Amino acid sequence: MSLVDTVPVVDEGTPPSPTRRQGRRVTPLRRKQIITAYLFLIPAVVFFVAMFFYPLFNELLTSFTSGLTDPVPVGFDNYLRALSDPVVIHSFLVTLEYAAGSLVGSIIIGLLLALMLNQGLRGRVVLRTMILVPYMTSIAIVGLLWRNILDPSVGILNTALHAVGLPGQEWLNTAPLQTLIGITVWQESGYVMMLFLAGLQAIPEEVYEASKIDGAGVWTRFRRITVPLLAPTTFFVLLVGVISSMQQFGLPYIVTNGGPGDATSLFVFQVYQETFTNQDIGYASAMAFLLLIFILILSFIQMRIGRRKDLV
Amino acid sequence: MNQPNNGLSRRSLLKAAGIGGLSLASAGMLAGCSVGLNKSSGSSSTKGKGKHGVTGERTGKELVIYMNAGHIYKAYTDLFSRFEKEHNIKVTVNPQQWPDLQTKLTAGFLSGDVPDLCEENGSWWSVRWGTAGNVLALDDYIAKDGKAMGFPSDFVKAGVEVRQANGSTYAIPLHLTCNGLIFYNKGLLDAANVDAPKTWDEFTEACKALTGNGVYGAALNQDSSYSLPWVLQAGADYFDASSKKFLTPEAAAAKSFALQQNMVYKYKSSPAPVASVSYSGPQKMFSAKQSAMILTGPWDISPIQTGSADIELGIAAPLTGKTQSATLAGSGLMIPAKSQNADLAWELIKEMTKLKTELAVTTETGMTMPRKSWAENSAVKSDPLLNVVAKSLPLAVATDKPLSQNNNIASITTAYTTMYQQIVSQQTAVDTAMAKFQSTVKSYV
Repeated sequence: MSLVDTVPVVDEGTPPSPTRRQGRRVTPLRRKQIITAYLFLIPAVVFFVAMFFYPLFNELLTSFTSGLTDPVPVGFDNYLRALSDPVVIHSFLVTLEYAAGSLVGSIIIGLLLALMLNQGLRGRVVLRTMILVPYMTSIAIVGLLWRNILDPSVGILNTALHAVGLPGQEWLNTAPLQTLIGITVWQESGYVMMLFLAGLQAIPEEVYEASKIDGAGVWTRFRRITVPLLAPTTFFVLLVGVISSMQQFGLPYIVTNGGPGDATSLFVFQVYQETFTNQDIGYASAMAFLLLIFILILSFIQMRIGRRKDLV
Repeated sequence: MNQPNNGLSRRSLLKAAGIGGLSLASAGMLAGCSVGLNKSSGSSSTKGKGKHGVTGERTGKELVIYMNAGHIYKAYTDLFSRFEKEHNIKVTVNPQQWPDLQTKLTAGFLSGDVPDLCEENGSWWSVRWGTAGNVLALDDYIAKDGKAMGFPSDFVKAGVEVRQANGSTYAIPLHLTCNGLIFYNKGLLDAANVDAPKTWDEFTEACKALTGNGVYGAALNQDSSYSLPWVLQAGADYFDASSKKFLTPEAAAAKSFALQQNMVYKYKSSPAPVASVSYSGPQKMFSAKQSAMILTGPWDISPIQTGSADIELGIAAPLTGKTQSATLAGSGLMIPAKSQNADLAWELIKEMTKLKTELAVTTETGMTMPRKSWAENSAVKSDPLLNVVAKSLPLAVATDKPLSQNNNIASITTAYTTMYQQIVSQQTAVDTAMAKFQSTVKSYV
């Protein structure tokens, strides 16, 4: 008897409803249990309503107003303005570039590290921990650390270059966005590595052994076994990575303050600028909502693709 | 056998606990959401309630002050200690950097959780927030005490005017400084046989002569406000209210940006500034003897003298291009409209702006002050550094004064910063960067 034979067949079109399925009336005891369960849930629900949905709703209302402390209704003006504002469009494009660069970089480096540390290397536990440390470090510390490393006059990197007779580089002026991407990859790769490591260890060794017997080389095994079987992990990394990259704020604020010029003015940094520097709360709220809508659409598309490819 | 119902089963106890927790959570969170809405009707104390501000739990007990983190001088902290004793109140000082102070105040105005007294940075803060009703107009207080405290007669006019709009005054000047002074390392200039420059040409030549052996002739600042003295010296205006044009005449303004760009990329006598939240990069290079000169203001005297006592600091008057000019800087004190101790805050303003306090701060830090009697004081006149600053103050122009009530003033500043950094940090052609700036700010006026 196979395992499949022992599993009862469930009609997926029928939602699981014990009371309806059993055709029974809800007993007083059962009703009390349900009420008790809801009573225990209510604090959490109230917490989310008060701390998440209420501010969200409040922000939605604010996005239709203008003014700091005496808001005036302006309808959809803020949304229309944001969609045609070259500063906003520029910051959105910069954010897309940043998200794409940091995601691709983190995935490639994280996967390479995971493949390396999945081998029986001596000291691999220490190495894994060391590689994970940047991810566990506060973004403020990471920002200040790299700011000091990359400073063209007193930074460690240029001092090292000078020491070996090479000219110093102005990383934060000549390639500011690429530098931010590099810092993000440095910070995130350890986390991505851990996810891929978990995925790699879930792949049965027998699959590799069978392929070896069939004559598959290293590259073929990687391409035909590792990559497809890591697809759900890759999908998760992509989904989470896109959301967090689109919301990046700390790095541009601390390392470059959005500059030079507007080179690293990521979208959320621009929202911050509109809120606290330009004092245009309604406009900033509209921008934040447009970003939320974009991330929701992107996540929805990713989920649809994931479901179609059976990744979720 | 059924247990007798004693009225408190474990289930009902848990249920009661759940309901209790729910009530507490709801009350706490809803109270948190309504910050500032009920403070004016707080019943805790009404002692000390004046004509202005609101009452709340701090009223008459604690005076909260937000100040720039670099301005918490001993002269002020000593004064706060005396003030605490005299008025039987606790003075709490919350130090912040300017950008963080702006963020904190903006959030405070929205939530109603504001300090009783706040230092402002001399730009649009007091006027814009004042005309919007977030900061008190000090007219009643000035009418009562102005004559006795010498306001405005004993204060430099430009420092007062920048805090006034529609006939009201929204802040009292605390420090009055100017940007565009030449700070130079006497030792390095003497070694290169170079005199302190007076004109653009002399400055350019001095920079070339001083650059070498790991030292730059000068260090430009990433903060765009440091570029405005150059614009004025070129004979251009930042904003001309009559024509509603920025950086006009454009050719003159372009000349000033071209000079700064050339210093970095053509003469290589200044490093390319690196964008950051701090304006102290050039001062740190100067203190580390990596730069022979910087263009700055009196706020850098103290960090240089305390951080690098071996540097013999010299200060020269602002340069002359087409004209000799500097930009007005400094700070002031304003009272938020929802201050819980507005009357006491005003009393403290009077103390902090007395000549005696000004001189104590100057002696301690070298900071320059807004009173005319301060500039006339013998201690100031006999100080070779302060004397240069005091003589330069009349040259200072408040560049964004014509825009102080424009709701887009911060966006305009952001666009200007973008343009400036593109020119000096990214070597974008001056014409291209200026055209982009003009196109961005066109709709803001």
